[in-house]
Amino acid sequence: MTNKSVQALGLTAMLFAGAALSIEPAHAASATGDATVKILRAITVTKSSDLDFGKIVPSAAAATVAIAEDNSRVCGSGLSCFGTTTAGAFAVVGAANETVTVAIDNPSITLTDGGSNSMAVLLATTTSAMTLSGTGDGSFKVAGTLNVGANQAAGTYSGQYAVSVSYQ
Amino acid sequence: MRDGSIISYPLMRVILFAGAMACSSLAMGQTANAASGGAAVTILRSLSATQEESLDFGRILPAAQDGIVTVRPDGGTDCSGAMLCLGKGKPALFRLTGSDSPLLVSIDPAVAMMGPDAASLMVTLLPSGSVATASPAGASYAVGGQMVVTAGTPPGSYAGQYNISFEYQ
Repeated sequence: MTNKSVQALGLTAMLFAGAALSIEPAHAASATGDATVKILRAITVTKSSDLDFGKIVPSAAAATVAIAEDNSRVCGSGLSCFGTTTAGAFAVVGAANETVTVAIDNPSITLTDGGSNSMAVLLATTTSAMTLSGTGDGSFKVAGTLNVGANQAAGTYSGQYAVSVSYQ
Repeated sequence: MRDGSIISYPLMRVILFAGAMACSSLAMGQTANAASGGAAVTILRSLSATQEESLDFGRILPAAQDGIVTVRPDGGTDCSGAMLCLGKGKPALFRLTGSDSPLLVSIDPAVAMMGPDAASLMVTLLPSGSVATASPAGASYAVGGQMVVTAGTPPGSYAGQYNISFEYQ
């Protein structure tokens, strides 16, 4: 058997091997493409509870009353604090598993008695961002520090503040 | 790759030689004559196409009016109307492996993406062009898309599929 015959046999063997492996060169190719989008639902924010500083008897010196997010109260020196206190609370509904940012639009507000008397309040929240649940729900709280003036005039004081929740 | 070659084997040489002899004997009775023929072949690599990135329109918050979101093949995005487009969209990328040769692209540009409760969004695909080029190391081919998001589009995740074909020209 000559060398060329051996080469020919080798080539034949390779061709059979190729056929057995089903190697089929392609002059055309197709691919499947995927397309995706997530449609979000508009965010709704609903107040669950008002920020309530309770009842306070002022003193001859100015002092502060702080309400924490866990509804606890720190009553300033010289003041007498009683009654139920609550932090501000808000419920959020949006798209499931989305992260949203939380902001207090006006963190410094003024409570008034409807007349000429007022008190300043500083607002704060520890929730700057949160991930909504699988059902699109979330919540956050707002704490506040009330500045009670010396011999603050008696009355019921109220004010309003706004919060914003946005998709990131 | 356009270089071609002819490999001659002993049997072919014999046949070619016999043919040449026949031509010579015919030519001897006439005036001298000569001719040459050309032969060429282009060997191409096997072609394959693989999706590396899917077409993603990102996250969209519909507005009170209809809006149009466009993801261009070059990666640019447009969000018309009052709706909010969050999370930058990105085009699909296919890797084409084969010879450096033009490819004819076939694609049905209409794709339905299905969402929650049988809701759907229609996408018009925006392929890079009707001709693509492959390369041995793999070349990219991008496909963008455009769709109308109506005010009442139900929220949720939408997904769809399409086929794209590439063929040597």
